Amino acid sequence: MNLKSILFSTALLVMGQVASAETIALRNSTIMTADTQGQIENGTILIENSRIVAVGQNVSVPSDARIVDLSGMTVTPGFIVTDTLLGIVEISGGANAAETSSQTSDISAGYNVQHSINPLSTAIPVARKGGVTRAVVMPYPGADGATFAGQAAILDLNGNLEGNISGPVGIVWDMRTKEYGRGATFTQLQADLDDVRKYVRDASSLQKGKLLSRDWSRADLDALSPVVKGDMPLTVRVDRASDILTLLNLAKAQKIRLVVVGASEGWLVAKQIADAGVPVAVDPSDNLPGSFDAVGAMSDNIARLYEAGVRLIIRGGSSAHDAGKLRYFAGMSVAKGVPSNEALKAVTSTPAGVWGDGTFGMIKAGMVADIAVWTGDPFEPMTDLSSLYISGVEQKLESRQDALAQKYIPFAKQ
Amino acid sequence: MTPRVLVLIASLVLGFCQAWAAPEAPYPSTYKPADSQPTLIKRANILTADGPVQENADLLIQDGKIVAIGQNLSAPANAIIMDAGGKWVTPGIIDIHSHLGVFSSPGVPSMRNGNEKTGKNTAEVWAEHSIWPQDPGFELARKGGVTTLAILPGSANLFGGRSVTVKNVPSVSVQGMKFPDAPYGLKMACGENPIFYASRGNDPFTRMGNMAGYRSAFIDAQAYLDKQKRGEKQKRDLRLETLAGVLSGEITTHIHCYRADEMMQMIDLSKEFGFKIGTFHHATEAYKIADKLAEEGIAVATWADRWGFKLEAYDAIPLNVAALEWAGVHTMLHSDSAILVQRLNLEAGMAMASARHANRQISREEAIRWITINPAIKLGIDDRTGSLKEGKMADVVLWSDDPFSVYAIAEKVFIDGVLLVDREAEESEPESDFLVGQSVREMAQ
Repeated sequence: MNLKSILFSTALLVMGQVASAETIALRNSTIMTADTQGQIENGTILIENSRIVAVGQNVSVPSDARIVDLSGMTVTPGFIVTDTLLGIVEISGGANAAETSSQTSDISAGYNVQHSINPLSTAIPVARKGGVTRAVVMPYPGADGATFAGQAAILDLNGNLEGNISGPVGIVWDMRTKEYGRGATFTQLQADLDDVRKYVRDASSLQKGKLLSRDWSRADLDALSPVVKGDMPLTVRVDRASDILTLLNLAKAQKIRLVVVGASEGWLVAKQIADAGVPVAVDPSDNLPGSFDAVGAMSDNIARLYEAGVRLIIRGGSSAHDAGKLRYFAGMSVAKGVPSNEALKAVTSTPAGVWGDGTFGMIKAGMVADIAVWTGDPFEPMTDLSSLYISGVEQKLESRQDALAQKYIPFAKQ
Repeated sequence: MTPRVLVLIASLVLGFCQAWAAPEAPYPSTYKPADSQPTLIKRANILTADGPVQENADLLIQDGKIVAIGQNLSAPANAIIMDAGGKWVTPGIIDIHSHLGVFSSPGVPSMRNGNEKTGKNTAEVWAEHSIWPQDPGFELARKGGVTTLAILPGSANLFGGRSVTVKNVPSVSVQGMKFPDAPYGLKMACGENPIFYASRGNDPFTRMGNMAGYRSAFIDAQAYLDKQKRGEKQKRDLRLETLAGVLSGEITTHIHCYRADEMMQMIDLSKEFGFKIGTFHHATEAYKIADKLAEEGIAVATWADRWGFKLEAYDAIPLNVAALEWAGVHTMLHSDSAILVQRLNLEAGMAMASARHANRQISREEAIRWITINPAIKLGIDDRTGSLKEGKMADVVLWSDDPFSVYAIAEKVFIDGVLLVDREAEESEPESDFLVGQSVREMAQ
């Protein structure tokens, strides 16, 4: 590869896409819709102006459409990776190339992760190669034992420098028992939410000195306002069953939308979670009693949550670099007893429903065309991602890792 | 003639090698497999790790050993007969890089027993003296088909200490897990980790400091070994004893090293002091020097696809494992994790699959070796386990599915012919005493 071609392919990588939006008919594939339609054999997806306009076995295709024959392929919505550090961590440790939290105690809930995201991170093309099209990026709590981590955002993995981050889409709160102590942290959360409610009713209560739960910044109060109004979910990272119950009760009393992330002991309170309608993001490989908050961690946690009727989201660790492995975590969930179509929803339509704006996450007329084309079962390692569309635009499936392989490995395809 | 010389002569006459590394072989293994009934597994696809897949074949286990593999085997009268019905059978998985028992679950401060890190050189410590056999991770690994593990000290310093090889069996003592007569290893570490340790006010502070640290240590070890060989009296020194064992070739080296340029430095270090490098662990840049590693006969144990967790792992690529295999390097997959150890079969599937975009493929027969016979060879136990071969220990896994599939579950796991994992049996109490009788677990019943 000469310098010119390296520069050219780098430019493509940066753009992350190989064609502009057009009318496309994807024909003859097995379509896993993640919608109520379930699976469609030998179906056609018609894409116009970045949106899906028709899906089914009998779709009339306009004469100017580019026809793509996908015989033998399986098509899914693009995957959505949840609770990820994609875009905010280039290298996890020792390289000053990660920003996951606020470094000032003045800003906690107000910490806005969208400013931290680098859409040119090398981890993004790697995630695309795993069929991931969007990421719900979530910060971690920062300075002075903060419990509110900040505002989550959704990253569109199209690799563009502009216009691909939307948010805030939710607030993240962490159970930091060691730093805070349970007796303090729940009391504080309750008092904080009461203050925010006062602030929402009367913004001048801040200047008037009526908000007493902490030394508030306006940024934090503004960030939390949509949570108490019920416009935005509060995502909590928590493992112990008793803590999950406390949070369910607190959310009910405060009338806020709760989402649970982690939930190692979730199976113990699966019925209560299901009854509350609270979505849970679970890593199916999380089965070790890593701490005394997770003595009940079990291999079949995810299966038990599913059986209880909990709205499941599958996550696969938060590492930016492993985001593209989400499909294997979906497969592991199936191995533990979650039906395949439900596992698919747990990496597409369910997270889209919780944090998204209703425009993506399913293969359905009206949705943005985020589509992954697979050579077989999308959860199996021997299956290949054949092509990937984000908003109807076919994406470049090449990463820095491929460039390194081509440089050093004689058998690597150029 | 002194008694010492008499012993020396006696051992020479008897053909024993003089052992410099562990003169009294203390802390011996007490592991004895339990009695087991003969078992005949019928109609399986058997990946033996010793030749082509045996399709629709039978495997007979008796007295803890593999007795026969072939078509239409007949079983002794008292044998348990299992019809695999076309399911897959492989050797038990061997993880050459585990910290189970030394970094146990729960990972509480009082149980961080894997890194001595009180100095740059702690070659005197032995991982087996830290292992907590009640670590719940052992049972979870066994449920992932793992039958043998090399437990290594961590990588916080240049010389982390001695590794130990264990059979993944329930036991109250680590002696009851120790793989009988398995050679020892020494954990060494390159690069970032020993330097971060230094940030607490100790040396080495740089990569050049790392190299100076290794060299000084081996100079001392050489003097110790020379004195010992000359039969001169000297006080026994645990640290130098282990390092001398490396120089004499009795103790293999497990070197944590990511970058290609650093592995090249370590190769020159080994030449300066005349020892042979056993295995580079992690070695995420090994693909850059695959031919050199093959030429030097140095093995690599790595992951299928982990990258970016630090700068020295930034150039890791999914095609690393396949590239090493193609170059003729002795290639292995390791876990270095209580989670990944539970799915090394899937790791192998992922590494095999990475070759889809290459001009050459990886066969199942090659891939299974990465997690079975290849680590057995580097641990010096391949004469007894690591492949399905007549006379070897019956360390065997029956899978629910293609073992390289994401859906594969180890349905039955035998260790020395003893059925230790059986998914058809009723859920039993956890093996780990830590979990026995916990209210939270009892609510699962």
